[in-house]
Amino acid sequence: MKTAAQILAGGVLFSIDYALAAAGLTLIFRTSRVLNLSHGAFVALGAYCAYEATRFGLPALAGAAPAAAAGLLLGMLVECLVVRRLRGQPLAAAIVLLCLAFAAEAGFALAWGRQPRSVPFRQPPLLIHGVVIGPEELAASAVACGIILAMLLVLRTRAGLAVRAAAADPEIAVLAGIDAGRVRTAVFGTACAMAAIAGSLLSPLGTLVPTMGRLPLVLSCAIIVVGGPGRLGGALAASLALGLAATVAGHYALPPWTYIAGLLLVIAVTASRASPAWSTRGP
Amino acid sequence: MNAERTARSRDARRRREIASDRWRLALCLAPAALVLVVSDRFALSILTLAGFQALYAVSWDLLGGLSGQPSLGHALPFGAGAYLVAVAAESRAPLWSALVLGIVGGTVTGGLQGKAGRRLSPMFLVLVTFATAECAHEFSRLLAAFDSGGGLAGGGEAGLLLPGLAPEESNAARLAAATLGAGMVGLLWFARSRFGLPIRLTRSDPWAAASSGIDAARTRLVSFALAGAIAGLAGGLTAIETGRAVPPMFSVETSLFPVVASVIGGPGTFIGPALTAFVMAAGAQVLDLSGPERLAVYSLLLIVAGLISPAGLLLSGARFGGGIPWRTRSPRESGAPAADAEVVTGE
Repeated sequence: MKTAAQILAGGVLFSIDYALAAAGLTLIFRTSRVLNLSHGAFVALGAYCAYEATRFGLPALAGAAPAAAAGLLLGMLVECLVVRRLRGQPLAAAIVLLCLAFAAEAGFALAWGRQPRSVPFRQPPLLIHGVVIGPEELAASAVACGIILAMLLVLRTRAGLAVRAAAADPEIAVLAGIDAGRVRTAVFGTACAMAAIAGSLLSPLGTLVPTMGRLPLVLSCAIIVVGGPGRLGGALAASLALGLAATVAGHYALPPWTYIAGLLLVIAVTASRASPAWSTRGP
Repeated sequence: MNAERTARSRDARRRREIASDRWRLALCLAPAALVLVVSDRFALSILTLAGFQALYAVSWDLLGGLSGQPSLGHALPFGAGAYLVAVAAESRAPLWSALVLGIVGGTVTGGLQGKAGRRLSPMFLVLVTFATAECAHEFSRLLAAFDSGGGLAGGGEAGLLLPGLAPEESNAARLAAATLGAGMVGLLWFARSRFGLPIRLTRSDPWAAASSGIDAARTRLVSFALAGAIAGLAGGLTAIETGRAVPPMFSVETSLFPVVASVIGGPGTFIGPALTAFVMAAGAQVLDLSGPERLAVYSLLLIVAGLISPAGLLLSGARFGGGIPWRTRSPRESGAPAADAEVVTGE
C-alpha cells in the first residue's frame, strides 16, 4: 500500500512537470500547425541550465529562470528563421526542427561532454504519512502548476483572445487587426520557454546526457496524440495519465523500457486514431 | 502546318528524352566504372560499403520521393535485413538464402510500417516511422547487452563470402556496383512502367487515383513493402561485408542518411540520391566519423537543404514526376469530399 502511495505521489508530481512541456507542444501545434520535434532539445537545455545553477551552489529550481530566458529567445529565433520560412510546409518544418534537435545534441555534447551528469537534491526529503517526497520536487510541481494555471488564465484575456483567433483562422485574425505572425512567434517562444522550465524542474529526477531530450519529446508527442492534437485540456489529462504510467514503468522496469513503452504508445495511438481525424491523404 | 509543327516538337521532345535517358544510364554505371579503375583494397572496401549505402538511399527514394511517403524510420527494414542475415549466418545457413531472408525481413518490417501509417498525413507518418525505428534500436541495444560483442556476427570475419565469388575486395566492390546499377536502372524503369503509375498517381492525387479504381491504401502499403525489400537487401549485404549486424543499423542517423541524400540529390530522381549517398557514405568512411558526428553532419545538411530547396538541390524531383509532399494540399486542391474537408483543417 505504501509503495502504491509512493508511486502515486511521485507520478503526480512528475506528470505535472511533463504537462508543462506537453502544454507548450500543444500550443505550438494549435497556432502554427507544426509538430515541434525540437521540443525535447529545449527540455534538455533547461536541464543543463539547472545543472549550471547547482554548480554555483544554488538549488535546481533556480535554473528555471535562465532556462526560461534561453528557451524564449532561442524559441523565437527558431520560429523566425525556420518555422516562418517553412510556413505551409508542416512536414518540412517538422523534419528541419527534428534535425535542429539532433544538432543541439551535438552542441550539448560539445559544451558539457557525453558523460552522464546529475543534478543533486539540496534539501532533505520530507516524510508525509509514510510517503517520501522531496521538498524541491514539491516546489517544482507547484511552479509547473502555477505556470500552467497562468497560461490558462492568459488565454482568457485580450492577449489570449488574439492567440485563439490566430489559431482558429489566421486570415480572419489579420482582418481583425491581429498580427498573426507576431502572435505565432510569441507563442512559439513561450512554449519553448515552458519546455526549458520543465527540463530544469525535471533535471534532478534523471541523468543528464546530450540525448536526454528524446524521452521527453516522445512522451510529449504521446501526450498530445492521446489528448488530441491542439487540445489543451486533453493534453493536460493525458499528461497526468501518462506521467503515472511512466512512473509505474520506471519503478518496475529499466529506463529503456519506459522509452520503448512511450514509443509503442505513440505508434499505437497515432495509427489507431489516424482515420479520419489526421488523414489528409485521401481514401 | 500546325500538325507539322506538333510532330516536329514531339520529335524534339523524344530526342531530348533519349539523350536524357542515356545521360541517366551513364550516371547509373558511374560507380561500376569507378570500381574498375580503383585497385587499392582500402579504397575498394570503402566503395563497396558506399555502394550498399547508395542502394539503401535509392530504396528510401522509392518510398519518400516517388510514392510521397517520407519515412524517418527506414533504418528498421535496413537493420531487420542485416540482423536476419546475421542470424542466418550464425546458424550456418548458406549466405544466398540468408540474403533472401534479409529481403523478406525488410519486406515484412517495411510492410508493417506502411500498415501503421497508410492513412496518416506525412507529418504524423514521420512521427510513427521514427518511433518504429527507435523501438527497434532500443530492442537491439537491449539484445546487445546480452551479447559481449555488441551485435551479431554476419558471416565470418568480414568481406563478402558468397558462393561463386572469391573473398576479394574487388569482387565485393563489383557486386556492390552491379547491385546498385541494377537497382537504379530497375527502379527508373519501374517508376515509368504501368506498375509505377498507380504509385505516382496516388502520390499526386489520391482522390483521382481512387476514382480510377486504384486502391490508394494498398498502393502505399506496396510501396513500403517494396522499399523495405530493397533496404533489407542493402542491410543484409552490409552485414555480410562488415561481418556484423549492430544496433546503430537501426539508429536515427541510419534513418536520416537516405533522407539527406534524397533531399540533396532530388527526391524521386533515384540517380541524384544514389550518387549523393555514394559520395556521402564514402566521405564519412574516409573521415572516420562516429555515429553522433554523422548525425550532426546529416542534421546540418538537412537543415540547410530543407531551408534552401526542399525540392532537391542537385536535381528537381518534380521534373521526374516525384518529390516529397512538403506542402499540405488544401481539401479544395485535392478535391476531397466536403465531409473530409472539415476533418483536414483539424478544427
